[in-house]
Amino acid sequence: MSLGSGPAVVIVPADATLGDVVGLWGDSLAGAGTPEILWDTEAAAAALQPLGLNDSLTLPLSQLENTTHGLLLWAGLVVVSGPGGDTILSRERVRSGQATRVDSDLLLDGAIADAEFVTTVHASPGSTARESSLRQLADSWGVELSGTEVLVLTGPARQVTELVRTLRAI
Amino acid sequence: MKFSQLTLACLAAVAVSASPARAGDFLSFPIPEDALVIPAVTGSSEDASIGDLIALYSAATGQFCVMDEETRNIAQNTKISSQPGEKLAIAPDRVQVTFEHMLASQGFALEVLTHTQPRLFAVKSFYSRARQTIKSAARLIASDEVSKAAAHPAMFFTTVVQLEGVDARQVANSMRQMVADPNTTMVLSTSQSSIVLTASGPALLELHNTLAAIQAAHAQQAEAARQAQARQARALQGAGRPGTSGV
Repeated sequence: MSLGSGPAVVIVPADATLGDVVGLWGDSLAGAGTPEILWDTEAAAAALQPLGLNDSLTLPLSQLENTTHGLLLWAGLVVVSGPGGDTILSRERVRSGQATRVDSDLLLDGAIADAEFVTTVHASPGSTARESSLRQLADSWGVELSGTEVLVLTGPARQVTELVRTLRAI
Repeated sequence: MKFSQLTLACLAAVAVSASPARAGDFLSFPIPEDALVIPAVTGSSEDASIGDLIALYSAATGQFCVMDEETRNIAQNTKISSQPGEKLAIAPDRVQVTFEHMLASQGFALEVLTHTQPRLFAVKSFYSRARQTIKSAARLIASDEVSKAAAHPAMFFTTVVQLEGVDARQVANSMRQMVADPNTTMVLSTSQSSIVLTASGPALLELHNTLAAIQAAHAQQAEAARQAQARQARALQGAGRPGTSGV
């Protein structure tokens, strides 16, 4: 529902839960004809988690997805895209095979939402790069890393992006 | 399983008073109009908690903080300070760094969840299960911008330092002994010439400066050795000429 003209906003009450915010996001997507968002059974418990806001939060509608993904990551959840729509799963339960393959340039452009579970490839930083150290680096961000000359990185888009940026700086 | 829609009003044409921070400009924080007043600490059970401080900060700056239940309980049961003190008025341009310093001193970290206004942060406690995820929130910062990170004691950053003529692995191994908490600090040699550092803002600057000092000392040693070699070469060359002393 909108009143007047100009950008729409949503108001998240101070006692809102994570599930409430995801519900708002889902409603905004439904308006655009996108299939509904589903919750994995184990991840559903996280939806009941109160955000603990001190006051109600007024969000421009354009930032709802960004905010929702930030909150999902905070709760240890990721979004897996599929032909039937998006599913929210616990990071600990998602399998590498469920990741969406994306180009690393899209990640660097910020075109992929933060909690999307993705996989990308990236060249190893060089012949002197230490495989064990790169794995330790990836692990610190919760990203799975495999390969030697060509690295395969799998994890939440935000963390994969940070790792790609770091690899390019090494 | 799906969740039913929450009925919330959608309002339109709300004027956004502050322009949003640039994407990626995650170290841009609004300066409140007024000083932030921290209540006096008397040593009583009524003293303000970290939870109260977070509420004050949010109200003053318009930045929102979320916490899981475990962290919220810890925040409510942790006083701002154990040392008695007078009421404190924090100047507007010092609110962010003071807030983060108080969080960090009581074992809390601040994670950026969104970049655009109104911003959202997550507060995590080093004494909760979320401790292990604090490092995963580190944001990459360019090596030449590490000084900006130093003003954020509750936030975590990563930077890559390139070394020349120095064995990065050896340096990283020796520096690793300086790391008090591997959950929050990392010194990693990723190649022969590069080291990746992860730490809170001020700690990152210290590690970065230590590497710079090591690099500078090595460069001095290398230059001194080069000059000594050059002198020796000149001396040998002079001794080999006909008619020089000793012949």
